[in-house]
Amino acid sequence: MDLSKITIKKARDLMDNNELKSSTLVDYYLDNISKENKDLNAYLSVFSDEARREALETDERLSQGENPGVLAGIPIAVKDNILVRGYNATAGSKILENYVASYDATVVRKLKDAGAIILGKTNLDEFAMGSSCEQSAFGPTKNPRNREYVPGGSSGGSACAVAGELALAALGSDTGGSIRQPASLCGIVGLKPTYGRVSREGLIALASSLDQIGPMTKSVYDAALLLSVISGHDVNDATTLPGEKFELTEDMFSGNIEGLKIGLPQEYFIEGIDSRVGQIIEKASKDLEARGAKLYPVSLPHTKYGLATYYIILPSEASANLARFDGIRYGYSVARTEQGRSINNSSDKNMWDIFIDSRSHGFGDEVRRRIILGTFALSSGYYDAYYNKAQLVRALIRRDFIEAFKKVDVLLTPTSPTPPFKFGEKTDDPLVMYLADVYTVSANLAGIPGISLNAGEVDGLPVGLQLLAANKNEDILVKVANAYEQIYNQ
Amino acid sequence: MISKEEILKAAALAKLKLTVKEEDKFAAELANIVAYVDELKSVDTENIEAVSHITGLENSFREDSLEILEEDKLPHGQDLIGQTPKVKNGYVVVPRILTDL
Repeated sequence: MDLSKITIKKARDLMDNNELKSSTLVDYYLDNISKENKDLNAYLSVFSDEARREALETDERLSQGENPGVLAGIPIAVKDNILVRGYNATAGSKILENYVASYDATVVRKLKDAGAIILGKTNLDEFAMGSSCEQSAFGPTKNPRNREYVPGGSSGGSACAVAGELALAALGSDTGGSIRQPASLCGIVGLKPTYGRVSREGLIALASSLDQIGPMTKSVYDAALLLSVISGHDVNDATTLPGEKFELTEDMFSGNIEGLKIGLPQEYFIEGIDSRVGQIIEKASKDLEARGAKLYPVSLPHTKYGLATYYIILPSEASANLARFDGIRYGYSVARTEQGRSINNSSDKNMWDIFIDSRSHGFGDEVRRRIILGTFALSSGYYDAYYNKAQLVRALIRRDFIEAFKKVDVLLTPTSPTPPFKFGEKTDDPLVMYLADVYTVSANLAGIPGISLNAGEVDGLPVGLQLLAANKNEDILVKVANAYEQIYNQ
Repeated sequence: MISKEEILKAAALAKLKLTVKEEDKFAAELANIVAYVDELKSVDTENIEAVSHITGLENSFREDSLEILEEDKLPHGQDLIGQTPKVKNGYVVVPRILTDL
């Protein structure tokens, strides 16, 4: 059986018909990991023994006719900023290099309850700050399609795992495009839910008003299935949406998009976009039109302020969220010797020294840059001009989308302005790297859901298209994405 | 705009220390970034209300009760403080904060 073509849907069908064992699937991925991970560096930690044991248990239960859950026996990778109890959670940073998670994130509990098998934790840009996976303290991850190229970020490890046959699916997190952009660069599906759709409990926080956990998969159906498992109101996260969970419906997978209105935001197709990317997106829009959808030009006038707004709000919230890493309660600390014992003699170092030295040594460049920027933007005398102003412009960006969705059902845009880039190409100037997010940040600012799926190639490198929908309209996203996937795979 | 002094001040507030080489590097990089985000000043935000929560949730409360939090899924005290550099009798040991003047 060629397991490289398998999806969660297919795997579950085969398992239920006793044509595939979870152990076979888990062994397949663990085998690939042992061969390729040294070079690809998708995983920071692999749970080989645990995964094999769980697979055997699952096979036993399946053979007894039990139903361990909708994800029974499915091997999934988890980004290393999401806590899995008893295992390291590094957030890609030296400051948490030896930190062991003391509880499961809500999404991890839900995956486990649904019978999924967690293969390990994947690499990311440090504290999810980055768009290429080059900012990890544990080395970059490579794009499995061409190893001289970045996989995107910050969920680069998760994207590489799915695209590189090292997991059947993965969880990532998206604050400014960190699921969608690496999904685009690796040629897979990545979905950022509506803000509040998925609980952030157990996600190491970057920017609390922007972060969302989401699925990274080989197919739209798989992404929707994973979303249905991990979404839902959580008493432990007061920002989660009350009311019904996201559920799969037959209509989502009918392939029928007759009369559906697709908006093309003109501001996304002007300067900065690689013309070959533009051509791929244009062809995609024509393909959808041929299926019966209607195309409309729309305008999102404040698009050009999205990045500036994002790069004030994100560092500000990050500076607050990362204040907890102080070398006192957990993580890397100068008050700890290499053997882990305390050198806490009060004459040696005072409190401030421990804070300052632990943080300065434990955090990488990009993290320190953004913390300083955020502290500045929130400080007395600058708060109004920067953070407050950004929140006001954010309201305008949100309004642009609300107005657009009065006219159309979804928006179609490129996910990334350029095809995948090589290592080192954008690391000299932070601002150049920030521009990689130009099409993705607005969705986080407005809270709306978005999905990226493969739409073509440039020089053998994947190019994704992005669909955006109004708040809580993941069903429409899935519907259009699924239809496009059918067209693309013809 | 952001000056080197402002960067150093922000770094100090954030309990971060930079080497001399980093000071220059960050000064140039951050000046660039701040110059870029400064363009927001030109946006007309007269009569706009800041959005405090993007999906409009208000007053998300839960019952102040232990029952709804599943006991076996809660982390235990030792797990939580077991990773500090120094623990004594269940307390986190920290350096003296108040010193003789």
